[in-house]
Amino acid sequence: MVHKILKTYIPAISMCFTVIILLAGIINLVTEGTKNLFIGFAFEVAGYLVLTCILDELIGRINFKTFLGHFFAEAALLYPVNLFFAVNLKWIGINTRSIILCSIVYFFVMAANHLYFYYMEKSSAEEINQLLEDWRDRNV
Amino acid sequence: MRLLLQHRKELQETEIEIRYPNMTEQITRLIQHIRQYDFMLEGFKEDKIYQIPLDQVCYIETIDRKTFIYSESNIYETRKNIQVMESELEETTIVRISKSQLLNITAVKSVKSYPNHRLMVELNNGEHLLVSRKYITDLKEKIRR
Repeated sequence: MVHKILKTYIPAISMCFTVIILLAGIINLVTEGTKNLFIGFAFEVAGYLVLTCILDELIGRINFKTFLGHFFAEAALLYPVNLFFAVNLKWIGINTRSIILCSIVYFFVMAANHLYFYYMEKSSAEEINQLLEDWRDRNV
Repeated sequence: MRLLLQHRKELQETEIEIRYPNMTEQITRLIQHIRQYDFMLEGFKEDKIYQIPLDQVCYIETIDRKTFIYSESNIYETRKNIQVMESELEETTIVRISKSQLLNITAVKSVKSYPNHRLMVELNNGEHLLVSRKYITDLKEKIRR
C-alpha cells in the first residue's frame, strides 16, 4: 500500500493538482479578464518549477558518486534561484523571519523530493534484482 | 521433461532436438536460451579474428568511435558500430544501457540505485557499469521477456 501511495497516488495528485490550478487560472483569465493574485502566484510558481527542472537537468550532468553529494550540490545551487524568485516576485517579505522560514520550507521540500526519488529508485533496483533472480530460475 | 543425451562421434556439430506435445512459454524460453549459445560475435585482437559466443560477452562499448566487445577476461574490437550491433542482437539477451554501451543481462550479478536517477550494475566479473535513466525501462523489459 505504501508503495502504491508513493508510486501512483502522490504523482497522480501532484499532476492533477497542477493541471487543475493552471487550467482554472487560464479559464479565469479568459472569462473574467481580471488578475487574480492567487492565479498569478500559481503561474509564477509553475515558471519557477520549470526553471528548476532545466537546472536539475544541467546539474545532473555532473557525475555525483553519492546521493548526499547530489542533494547538497543541487540544494545549494538552486537556493539562490529560490530566494531570487521569492523576493523579487514578492512571495515573501524582505525581513529575516520571512527569509528564514522560506529557507526552511525550501530545504524541507528539496529533502522530501530527494528522499522520494531515493526511495523509488531503491525499490526499482530491488524489483530488477528480483526480476533477475526469476530470469535466472527460468533460464538456468 | 525427459532429458536425453547422446554421444555420437560421427556428427560434425552439436545438434539439439526438442520434441514437445505443445509449444509452451517454458519451451520458447528454452529455445531462446539455446539460441544464445549459437550466436557468435566477430571480434579481433592483435590482428587475429575471433568468434565470441554471446554467452561469453559481458558488454559492448563504443569509445572514440571504436567498438569493443568485453568478455570476462578479454577485450576484442569489432568493425561494426553500436547501432548495428544493437539491431542485430535485438532478439538476444543484449540490451542498451547508455548512449555508448550494450549489456548482456546474463553477465549481471545485481543492480543498485545510483545518484541522478541511474542504476549501477555489478557484473559477475566484478566490473561496474551505469545504466542511464532513459534505458532503465528497456532493461526491465528485457529481463521480463
